[in-house]
Amino acid sequence: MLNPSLAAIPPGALDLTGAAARRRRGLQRAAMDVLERSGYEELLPPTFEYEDTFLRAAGAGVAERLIRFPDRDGRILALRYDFTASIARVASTTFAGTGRPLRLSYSGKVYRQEPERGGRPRETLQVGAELLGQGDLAADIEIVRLTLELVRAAGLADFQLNVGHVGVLAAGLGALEEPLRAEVRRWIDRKDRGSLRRALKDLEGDPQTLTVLPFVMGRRDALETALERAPLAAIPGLRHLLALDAALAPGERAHVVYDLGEVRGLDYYTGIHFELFVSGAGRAAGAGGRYDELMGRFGRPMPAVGVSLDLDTIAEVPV
Amino acid sequence: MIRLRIALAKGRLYQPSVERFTRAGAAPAGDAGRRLLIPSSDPAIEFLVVKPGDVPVYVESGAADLGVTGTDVLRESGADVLEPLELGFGACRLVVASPAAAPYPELPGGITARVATKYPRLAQSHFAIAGRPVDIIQVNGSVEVAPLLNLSHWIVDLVDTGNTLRANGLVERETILCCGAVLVANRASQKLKLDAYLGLMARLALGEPWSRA
Repeated sequence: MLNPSLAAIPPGALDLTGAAARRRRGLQRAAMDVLERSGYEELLPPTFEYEDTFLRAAGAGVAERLIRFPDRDGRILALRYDFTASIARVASTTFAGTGRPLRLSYSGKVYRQEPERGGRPRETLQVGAELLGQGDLAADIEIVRLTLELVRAAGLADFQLNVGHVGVLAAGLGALEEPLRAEVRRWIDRKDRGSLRRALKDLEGDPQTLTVLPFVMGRRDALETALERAPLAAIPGLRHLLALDAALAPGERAHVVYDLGEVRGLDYYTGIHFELFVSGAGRAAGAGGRYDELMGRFGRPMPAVGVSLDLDTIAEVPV
Repeated sequence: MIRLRIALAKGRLYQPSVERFTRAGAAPAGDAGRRLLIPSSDPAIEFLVVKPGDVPVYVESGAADLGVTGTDVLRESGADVLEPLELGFGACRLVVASPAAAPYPELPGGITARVATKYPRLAQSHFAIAGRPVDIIQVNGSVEVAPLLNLSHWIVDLVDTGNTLRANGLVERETILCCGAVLVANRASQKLKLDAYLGLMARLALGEPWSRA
């Protein structure tokens, strides 16, 4: 009989063979071709770094999701939580003297701790791109179009990109005191309109928009309707999304849905943010957006916008 | 045609769920019986009947687009799903209970309380927030008998009327959570099948005074 310990792999680790391996390699190759053609230079950052690098980039909130271990000198290392942290570190050091903007790409696994109840992989194959040093609308457009091109290169037809802007809900949320603000954010995140209405019914002004704006999801006309009842502070964000929409080609626009109800990236993103949804997958298959505060945390402030795709989720979608 | 698959929990939430969907124009075609997937009077909606604890798993993974579950089961699971609608039935409370004759929360002789429960995560976090270390014992049923048999000092369990607690000589000490049935939805499905989702939400809310969603 086979020794059971020979066959064991840790929960959330993956063996991928045969068609599963070929599919991923094919997706990776197609994506890297697109990125190279688009002028993005590949970077191969280390598989592990000091944990501080990941915490600096993504905030203390990710601490419990790092897979950590001590180095020989006792310092704590973590497996690559994301590529963005390493890229920000490299861009602010090795590339400090390089002209802007920087167009960088990557492909490889990221490692994240998942809840013990299991079923979730703790390693994911990603491919992605970062556009550093360019803070205008054109950079946002470039990344959104690049994302759509990457998805098409993966051979997917039935997908949508849900695009939002952090400025839209910031005014309403900013007018609330803690701990109500945290609760309201949670209700928005769960799309729990009943609880939102109960909690906000006696409040005047901007908070009232929180019972409406987070539920706006649709095409250009949804943005235009939202513009009519948005608080003053939300208008620049909405106008930014409208300008993005105007720049897209009809074939691109068909896959873009504006979604003002995403609050998850609010502490990280500073402008547009988006998630990719693919028919047949129960979770987002990619995400991205603008994070202009990231590079400053590595000592070289400059605007940044990027995208990463989850090739494992895409590979598992029935075609 | 865009189809929505809705996971229903067997047990106490099943009948009220069926009634609610029937009023919304999607009556399950016949009884669940041995079938796990049942069509409905609306060709765009089918039901999946599973154990209550499995509803959040099916919906989180996307195997079902929507589901009906109790907030007790949902919070215990930690599932990352949308909760767009309170359904207004299945109200109950998750409480700490202990033998009426014993003092609470003191225990004799400086020992750590043992707590029997079907809700280890919720119990653990409740006592952690309260700053009282406890030893959680996970059981899958007949929780009320645990203190009688010295399996545990206290229990954390769901109560409706409180009759079962009283019959076993227990009294409620603290409420951890007020629970009720909620509609849950898969995050990706809600975005990809938005029109079907919104249509169903509107039908579910129609004429239901307690949920103006």
